[in-house]
Amino acid sequence: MPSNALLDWQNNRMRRLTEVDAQCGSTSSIVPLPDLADENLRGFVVLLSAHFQGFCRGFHSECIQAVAAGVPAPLRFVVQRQCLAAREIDKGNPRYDTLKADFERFGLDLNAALAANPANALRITHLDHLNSARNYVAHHKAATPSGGPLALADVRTWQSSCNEFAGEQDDIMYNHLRGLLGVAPW
Amino acid sequence: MLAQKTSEIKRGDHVKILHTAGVVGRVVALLGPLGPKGAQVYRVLIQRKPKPAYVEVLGDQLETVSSVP
Repeated sequence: MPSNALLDWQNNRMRRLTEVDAQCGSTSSIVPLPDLADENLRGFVVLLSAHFQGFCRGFHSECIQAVAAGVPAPLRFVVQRQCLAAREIDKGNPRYDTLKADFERFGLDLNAALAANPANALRITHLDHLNSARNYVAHHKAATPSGGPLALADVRTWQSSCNEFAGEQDDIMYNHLRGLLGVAPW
Repeated sequence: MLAQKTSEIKRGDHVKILHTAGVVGRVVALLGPLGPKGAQVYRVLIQRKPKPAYVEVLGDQLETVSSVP
C-alpha cells in the first residue's frame, strides 16, 4: 500500500504536471515557434522541481509521524522535533544529496538501498539534470547546463524519472520503517 | 490562558502541545493526511530564542488556547 504522500504525487501532482506538459506540447508545435513555448517549458521545469520537492517533503513528514507513533506519548514531540530540525528539503532544492541527508536520519544507507535496483543510477542522474535546469531557469542564467536549448523531451524524461524515484523511495522507506517498527508504517 | 480540546483546528489557531513542558505555538499549515491512518498533520510555529522553530504534530497532540503569552 503506498504512502499518502505518494498517492498525492500520483493522483494530484502528476495530473497537474501532465496538464502543463500538454500545454507545452501545444505551444511547441506552433510554427514559427512563439516565445510562449520557451516560457511554458521554463515553467514546466520549475513546476516539476517544485512538485517533486513537495512530494519529498510530505513523504519525509509522513515517515516522521510513522516513527513518532511508535514511541510513548511523552517522547513523540522529541522525535518530531529532532527529525524536522534543520531538514534540508525545507529550504533546498530536491537534490539527491539533500534527500540522502534527510532520509538517512531514519538510520538507513540510501545509496545501498537504491543500488539494489540498477535503474536508480540513471534516475539520480536525471534528478541532477533537473536541478541544474531548474537553477538555469530560476536564476535566468545565460546558458543551459547542457549548452543546448531546453527540450520538452528532456523534461518529460526527468518527470518520468521523478515518478519512478518516488515509487522507489516509498518502497525503500516502507521496508525500512516496517523493520524498525514491526508494523506497516502506512 | 484558556485551553480546550478541539477537532476543528485551523491555520492561525494558537495551540498548546500536549505531553510537553507547556510548549505553545501557532498553527501555520495543515499538511494533509500524513499521520498514522491518514491523521491530519499540523505544522506549528513555536516562538523561542534565539529563533523560532517549527514542529509537525498530530491533532491529538494539540489543544487550542485563546492566546500565546
